[in-house]
Amino acid sequence: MTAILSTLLLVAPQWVREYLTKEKQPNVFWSEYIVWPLIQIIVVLFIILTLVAYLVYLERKVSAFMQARLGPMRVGPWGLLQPAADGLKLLLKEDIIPIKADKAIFQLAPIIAVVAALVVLAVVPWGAGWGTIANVNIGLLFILAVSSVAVLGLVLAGWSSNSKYSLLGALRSSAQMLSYEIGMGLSIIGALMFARTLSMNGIVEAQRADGVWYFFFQPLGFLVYVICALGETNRAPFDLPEAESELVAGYHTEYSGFRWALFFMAEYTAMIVTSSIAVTLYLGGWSFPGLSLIEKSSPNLFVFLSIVIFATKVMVLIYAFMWIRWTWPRYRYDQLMEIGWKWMIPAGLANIVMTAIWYVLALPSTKASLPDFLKFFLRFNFMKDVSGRLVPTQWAGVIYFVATGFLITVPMVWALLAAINRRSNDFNLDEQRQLQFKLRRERLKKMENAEAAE
Amino acid sequence: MQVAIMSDESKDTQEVPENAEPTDAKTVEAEVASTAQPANVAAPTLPTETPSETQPEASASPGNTTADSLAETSTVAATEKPTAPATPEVPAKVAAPSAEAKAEATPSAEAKAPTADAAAKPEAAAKPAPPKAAAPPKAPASAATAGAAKPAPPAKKGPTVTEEIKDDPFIDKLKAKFPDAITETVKTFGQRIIRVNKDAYLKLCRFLHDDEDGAFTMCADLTALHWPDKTGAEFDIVANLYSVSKNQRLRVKTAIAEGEAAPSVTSIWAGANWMEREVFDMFGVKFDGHPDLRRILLPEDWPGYPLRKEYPIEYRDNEWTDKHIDYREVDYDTSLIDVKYAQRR
Amino acid sequence: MQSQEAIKPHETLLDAEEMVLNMGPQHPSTHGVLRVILKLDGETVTDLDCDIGYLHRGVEKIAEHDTYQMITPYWDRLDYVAAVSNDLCYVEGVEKLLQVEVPRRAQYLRVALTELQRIASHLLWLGTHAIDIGAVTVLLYCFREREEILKIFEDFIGARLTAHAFRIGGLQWDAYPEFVDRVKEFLKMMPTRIDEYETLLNSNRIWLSRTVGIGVLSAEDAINLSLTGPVLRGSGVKYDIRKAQPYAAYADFDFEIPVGENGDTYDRYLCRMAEMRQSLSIIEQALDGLPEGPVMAKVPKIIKPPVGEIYHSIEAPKGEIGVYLVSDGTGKPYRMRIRPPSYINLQALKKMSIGHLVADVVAIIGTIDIVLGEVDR
Repeated sequence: MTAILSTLLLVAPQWVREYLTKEKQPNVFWSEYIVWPLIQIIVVLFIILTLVAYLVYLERKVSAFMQARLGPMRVGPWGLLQPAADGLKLLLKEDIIPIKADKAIFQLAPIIAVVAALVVLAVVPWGAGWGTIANVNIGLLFILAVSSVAVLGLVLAGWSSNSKYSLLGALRSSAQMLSYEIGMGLSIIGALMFARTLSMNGIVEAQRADGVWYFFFQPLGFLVYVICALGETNRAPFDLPEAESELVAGYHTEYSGFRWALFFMAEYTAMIVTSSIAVTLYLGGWSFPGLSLIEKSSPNLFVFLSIVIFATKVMVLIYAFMWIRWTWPRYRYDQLMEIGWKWMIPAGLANIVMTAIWYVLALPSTKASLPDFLKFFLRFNFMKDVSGRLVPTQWAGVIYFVATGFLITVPMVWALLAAINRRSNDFNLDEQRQLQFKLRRERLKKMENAEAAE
Repeated sequence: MQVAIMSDESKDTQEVPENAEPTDAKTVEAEVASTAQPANVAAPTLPTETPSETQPEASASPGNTTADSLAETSTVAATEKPTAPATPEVPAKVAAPSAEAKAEATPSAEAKAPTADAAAKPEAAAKPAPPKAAAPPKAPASAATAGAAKPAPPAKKGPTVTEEIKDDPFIDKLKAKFPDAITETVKTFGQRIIRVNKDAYLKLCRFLHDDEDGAFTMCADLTALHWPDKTGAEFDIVANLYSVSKNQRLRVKTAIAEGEAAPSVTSIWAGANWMEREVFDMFGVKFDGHPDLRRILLPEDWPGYPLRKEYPIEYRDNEWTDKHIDYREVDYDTSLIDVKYAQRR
Repeated sequence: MQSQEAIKPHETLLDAEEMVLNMGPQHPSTHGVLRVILKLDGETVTDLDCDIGYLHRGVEKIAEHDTYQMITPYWDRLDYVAAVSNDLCYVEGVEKLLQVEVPRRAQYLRVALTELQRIASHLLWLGTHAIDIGAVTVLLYCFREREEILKIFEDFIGARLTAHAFRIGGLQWDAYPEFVDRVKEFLKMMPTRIDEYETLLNSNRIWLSRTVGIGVLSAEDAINLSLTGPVLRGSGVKYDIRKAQPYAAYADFDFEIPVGENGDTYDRYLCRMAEMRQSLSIIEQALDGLPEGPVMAKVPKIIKPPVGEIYHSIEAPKGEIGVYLVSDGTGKPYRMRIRPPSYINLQALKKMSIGHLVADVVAIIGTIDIVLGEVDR
């Protein structure tokens, strides 16, 4: 044991240097697969856990500024040490396990939740080159698979607490996460059609190669993904599993101290992960126009900048999440399910179909076997074959996909959804719009009256 | 329900009406019987033992219809101990308004009026300036209710506050419809009150609700009053009705005896549900036909009914709290504080 | 839109078991120590029972042992977010019993203060109602404006919450010199702030789907359940004691009674919002027409009303708060009955909730606008 440790301590710096300078030495296995990833993991975990703590701080500050107050101000300058104080407090708190709780599961549940959230971080492309920990070729699938284990943690927590509020929260969260995962899975398929890979870094590279972020090809997919991500991470307006005004605290009602903190950590990590996926899939990941100029000249700066860009994009999305949370009320459980099943899943499916149609119509003539009346489209050469991979041609293809995405897919799917939900009570657009018209009429009438009175 | 604990103060004060008139409520009687004293012993205790501040409360707590009982209280004090120079204000303050009221009361006052007058005179002589503390200028001409010996509801009131309702078509209609049931229709401060027999209460309420001229579709309030001295009519159920369409109010009263059940009006006004439950909770009056008659504000096993007059206000700490609330003696270590103070000194 | 029929537990092959959920007395959204016992089928409420009395102080019993002046502060502690309105009810009741004429200036100031209190109470209601439905930010906005009102109160009355604003016969003090200006400043600021809340909520899809068609009460049911205040007016019944039986100086002012149409949570919300605007207009009129003169009538130091009884009720923010005073000619009331609007309005919870989901129960408790200090007394 000591031998291994001393070897690591003595030799590791050399390996790191070797890795960075690309002078591969015989010890390549150790440096490539053990030491360097370990360092990456420790750094990422450290940063993420700190970030989670400061996300809580950020959330409190953002909400405070939105609500005309100051937020935490007492611990440190502008309350900057508040997360540290909170963490310390949570560590020192009494660990309460209810007498009638199922102890083993009660203790296991937060661990499952937090582990499922943290493991996913391995395949997130934090940046170019050494900014990525593991470039797994099924990265996206891995993320979806592992993050859905997190629901197990919530269900077990609710069940083992032996409390009705926890149980209701757990049931809600399991139903909600399952149904929103379907919509989420369906929504990303459109983007994957263009990327033609499940590797997270591959998706980013594909967007760099195509010269356009997939948000412009897949506006609907992005929208559905973001909404489902809100549902998946239990954020408002879908925060029913922990709806404070109904279920006290939902599945973690009975938790206290650090176990509770683990759930909190899992929730915020999940937020980071879902935002990362959205950024990777739709917003070009760590790429940014003009960034490739310095790729050759100063590779380390390039990687560093890519990490910063990725982090910025993620934070913008997280800020949007917070903005939504502090602005909107909460949906009801049945309405949530209706959104999941009647809006998100049909929208995801329709998006796949529409994208597929546009994709097939844009195929180069060598690859397509279309009916004669559709061969008309092939003359435009919207796509070309670049080293065995189909990419949209630089201008015509991009404009074609953007136009179809925004101008045809979105309205058609909207019409389809309205047709599906026309009889739905709570989403009767007509009725709700009439109500708003009525209110507006009344307000106008009042203004007219006031003017007439003057 | 019998209240087990009575404070010493209430015992003292309840002796006086007990000695003056033996027709007190049973509950009070049972309690007082054990400690009853002869009248000539009890009477002198009043002015000497009871401080002047508690005097009005003392006469209020046994719940006599007041003016007369007050007058009698002072009568006892005045006649048995005519020269009570030590505390002359005590009876004077209390007796003055009632005496004045008696003096200006309608001619059909009770047989006891002379005694009240007789009582008033020596008091007025003893302390000649009570009216300044009595009441606003108009008020003293107001009222003298019937004596406690008379079980019937108070009938005679002063002209300015309470008067018979005349020329009210709706009330006339009611009277015609329920000739025997309605025993009293008066107007006080412009508010109409009708008193109805218990048996016709529900029918009348149904009529008030359904009738087009009345249309009392809302039971704004329902409560009870406790008159422990009116044997056979200890409780008044008072319903304040409101008609939304006609914008008029009416108060319906019905008297019921101790242990009797009142008819429930929940079948007419669903809103009376919780109000009747509260009356049951606070007075122990049961309601016939109530769908869900449970205590509402107090625990199911709370002893006694708090808003009854014999229920002492000190009875907040009782056997229920002994049983359910766990008082713990906390022995604080004050030595540290002492040390600190000592050091500071 | 959701049907109001009582829903039976689903008769399925699997024996569906009902769950009894105990909401409260410690629960974030029962507005105090209300305990609601829910019988759930899934998340659908099949039966409901309210358990109240955790805050019972026995005010009515205490009142029988206190002089008339000593009782007034107890009224502050009934509906402690609308203490001024409570005071007005009791004080006017006693004044009626004494047949005291209150000076005009005092009456106008009373109206101004009471209407400010109504706005403050409605703001608190709006904030908590919104937070129950999940819109957290509205609460803080409402508190921002409520704070202004409380500051005005503090400078006038000396207290923010349990004000003890009025004395029997008028006011203890006349308004301080800047009072009118400060209130006018508030009046100028408030309409834009109400617009702000309405922007956040009025046409918000989620807010609409959470409130439209929830807890529907027909006008007949509402009257039969003795509901008063905005809960009644939301069902379309135009009953406001300020208009029906004007007290204080309300007969002098020109204002409208906003009523709803559908009797659902959303209409009650609109009613209260419109009521706030009406209150602003009443305050403005009261301040513009504020007469000069004394603020206290001649009232004896020791109050001994004549033998008699009185029922006096006013339109508090929650509904009709009333006092039924029976005097026996002594310095202490023979009986004082409080007609508590929250307590009586709470009865409607069962009728409004059955068939809805747990989340709707929370919204309905919010829309009834209860204060447990008054429910339990």
